[in-house]
Amino acid sequence: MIPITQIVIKEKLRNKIIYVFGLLGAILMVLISTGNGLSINGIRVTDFEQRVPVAIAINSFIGCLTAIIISLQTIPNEIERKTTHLILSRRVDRGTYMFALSMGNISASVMTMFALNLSLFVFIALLGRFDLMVSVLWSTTIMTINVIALSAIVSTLSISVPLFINAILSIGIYFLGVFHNLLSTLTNAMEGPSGQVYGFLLMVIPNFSAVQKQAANALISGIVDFYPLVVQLIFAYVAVTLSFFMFRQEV
Amino acid sequence: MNRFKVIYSVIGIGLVVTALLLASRGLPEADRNLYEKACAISTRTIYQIWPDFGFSDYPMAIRSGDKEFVIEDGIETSRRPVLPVIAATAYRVDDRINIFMPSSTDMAALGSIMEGITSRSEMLFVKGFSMTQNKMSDEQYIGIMYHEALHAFQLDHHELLLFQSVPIDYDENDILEMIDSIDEIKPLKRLYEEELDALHDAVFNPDEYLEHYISVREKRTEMLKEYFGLDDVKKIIFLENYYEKVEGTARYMEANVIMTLGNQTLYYEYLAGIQDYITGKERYYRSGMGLALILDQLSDDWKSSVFTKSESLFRKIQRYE
Amino acid sequence: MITCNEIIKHYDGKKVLDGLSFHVKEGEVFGLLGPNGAGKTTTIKAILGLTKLDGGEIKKNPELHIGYSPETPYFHPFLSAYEVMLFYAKIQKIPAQLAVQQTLEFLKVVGLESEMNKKVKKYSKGMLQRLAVAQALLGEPGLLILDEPSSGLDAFGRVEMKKMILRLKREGRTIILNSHILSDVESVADRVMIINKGRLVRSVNLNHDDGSINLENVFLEALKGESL
Repeated sequence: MIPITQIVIKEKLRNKIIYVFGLLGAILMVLISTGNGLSINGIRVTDFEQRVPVAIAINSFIGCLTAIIISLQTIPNEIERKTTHLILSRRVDRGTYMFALSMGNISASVMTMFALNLSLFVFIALLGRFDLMVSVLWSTTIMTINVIALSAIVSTLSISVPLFINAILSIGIYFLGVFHNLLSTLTNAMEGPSGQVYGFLLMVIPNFSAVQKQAANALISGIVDFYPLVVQLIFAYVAVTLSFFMFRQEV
Repeated sequence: MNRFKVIYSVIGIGLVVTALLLASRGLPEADRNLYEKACAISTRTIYQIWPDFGFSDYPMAIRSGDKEFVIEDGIETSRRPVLPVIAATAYRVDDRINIFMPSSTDMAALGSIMEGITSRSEMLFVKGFSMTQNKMSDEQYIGIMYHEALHAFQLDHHELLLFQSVPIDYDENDILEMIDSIDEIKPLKRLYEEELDALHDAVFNPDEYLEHYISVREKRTEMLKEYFGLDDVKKIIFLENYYEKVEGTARYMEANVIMTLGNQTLYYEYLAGIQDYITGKERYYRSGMGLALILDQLSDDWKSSVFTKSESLFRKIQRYE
Repeated sequence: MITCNEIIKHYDGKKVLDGLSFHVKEGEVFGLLGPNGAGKTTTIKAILGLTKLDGGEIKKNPELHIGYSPETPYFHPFLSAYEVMLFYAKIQKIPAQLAVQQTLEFLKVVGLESEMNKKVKKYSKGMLQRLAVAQALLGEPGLLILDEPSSGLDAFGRVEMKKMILRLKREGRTIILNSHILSDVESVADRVMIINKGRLVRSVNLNHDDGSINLENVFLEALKGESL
């Protein structure tokens, strides 16, 4: 199983996607950290400390979209190239194979996320703001949980769901997850069975907003509620476990 | 492979157990802290804002998820939500008036939703991805707690006069529709806008602008008769006065608490909102707050009789003027 | 070694294998012939366990290790042949030392010894086909399935491939060979099975050939009257 996961990571690394996003992160950091360009709600943001949450938020957004891109095609490509034949004919269990590929996607997505944020860490070091280093690292790590969950879901779906539909579904899940808190509040404000139905549907959407909130807490106040993080990890765990059982008729 | 399966299963079980342990906790710490901060405002300060009112006189029920955490006398208990929906309100439960509040997270989300619905939907979208998202300030959340607490006070002491004084044939939706239709009546709308500007100015300088405000409001009320029947005008005036008294005073409490907690920026945002021409009941929350602030400058003890007499806030101002 | 009894397979409502039965003996080179869409690849996939049958059964030793060389092999272009071999050896859980030994040995067998450190993306089609055979040999499989090993090769490549198959045959390996190129099959196979539309049309024992059997004629004769 490990060789399969390693080869996926190597392939993504070779794809230079991680380097592209590392460079993108660096460019974004330069733009955000310097100059007068950043304003929020019409108010100029000049303090580096105020720019940091913006940088992390943007990196997280790009990191999550990248996780979708990385994870969408790995398994379909393996099936198209018929590499599956060479693996499965070696009496490797199908579920294990899919699981290993999913783990490869997750690992590559996490690496990309850290590559994106690497420039932020470099900037912090260059500016001598080591007081921020720990909280930024902690915050980024928490945000990575979202990347893990998203990559797991997309990978597992890619086993059975056609590429285009998977892409739309994945982006939909991500956006619904980012607005999970708002949707949950709206659902709780609804009376009658419709509220319960929407509430139930929301239960199957991972709560990206709750994790984001804890990342913000880690950055600003240091007090983190671990419950939403654990729940998100459970989502990722369930998603990647499903890859053992997701069925594709012909490989 | 078997060893891998064992380790993998242990990880899964570990995650679930951790989640279960973390889930069986009480009110989120953030909300606890906010409640304690609200209670920490001194009795003297509260008395100065509203005499005979006590924030801690009523149990506070904060809804978080599918549970409600009730805090009274420092003791926290949990129960199934009493109300079928998330709401910030005051409501009688087993003969005790409870203050109901959504959690700070839900409250912030509701605020964002309203912002997205009313105007800045793109900000709602952007905020979704930001780290600080739709965080409501602590001061505003505590202000809303006090807002609802004043409603509890109103219910507790003045239910008959305030809430049971509503006429039998009163259909609020119909009246609000009539009020919203004023948007299409240009002369009337212009007068409303002038009235709001005058009220805003009078809050800051009653000596100079109060008389003008009273005059414009009287003119506007007269003009209503040109476009609506007498009965309808009475209903409109009743609704205005009702919400200005009930909700306007609660908004006044909210704003004063925000100022007490030191968020001047937000306080002045509240005041600036008085001159915004908006539809719906919210305008009376703001105009009522404005009238209360003016009354503060006209009389020291206007609050002692505001809920015991049927007189509107505007009528009070006319009398004092 | 392998016995297929009345195997049936449907794809999209179409019968691709229609009660096919055959037996492959140990140590023989068994040729699989038929026109396009006859069911050859499906038969191979069924033997490999890559597809589930809708009827019939395949009897084989559960411990039988099958080496498979696909028609259009894909290897990660950033790996060298050596790394490809080690990758598949790891998947098969071949101990490290033995993996290295077998890698060197089988790359030599297929004639890629001198190119083994070159990245696969620089390989020609013929080299890729040979690498495909090499990785199929890992773990000393009891059965080797070669699916169109000469596909896309030039004349020289085909000759080299034929020589390699004969070498494997001399080593006593059991091989199922699927190929369009009748002359190649004729020169290496012991027996051939001609199938069409998932059914056995004719079985020919080339070992009893006194030189008078022309496989091409046999093939055409067998398919005469068959709708293709």
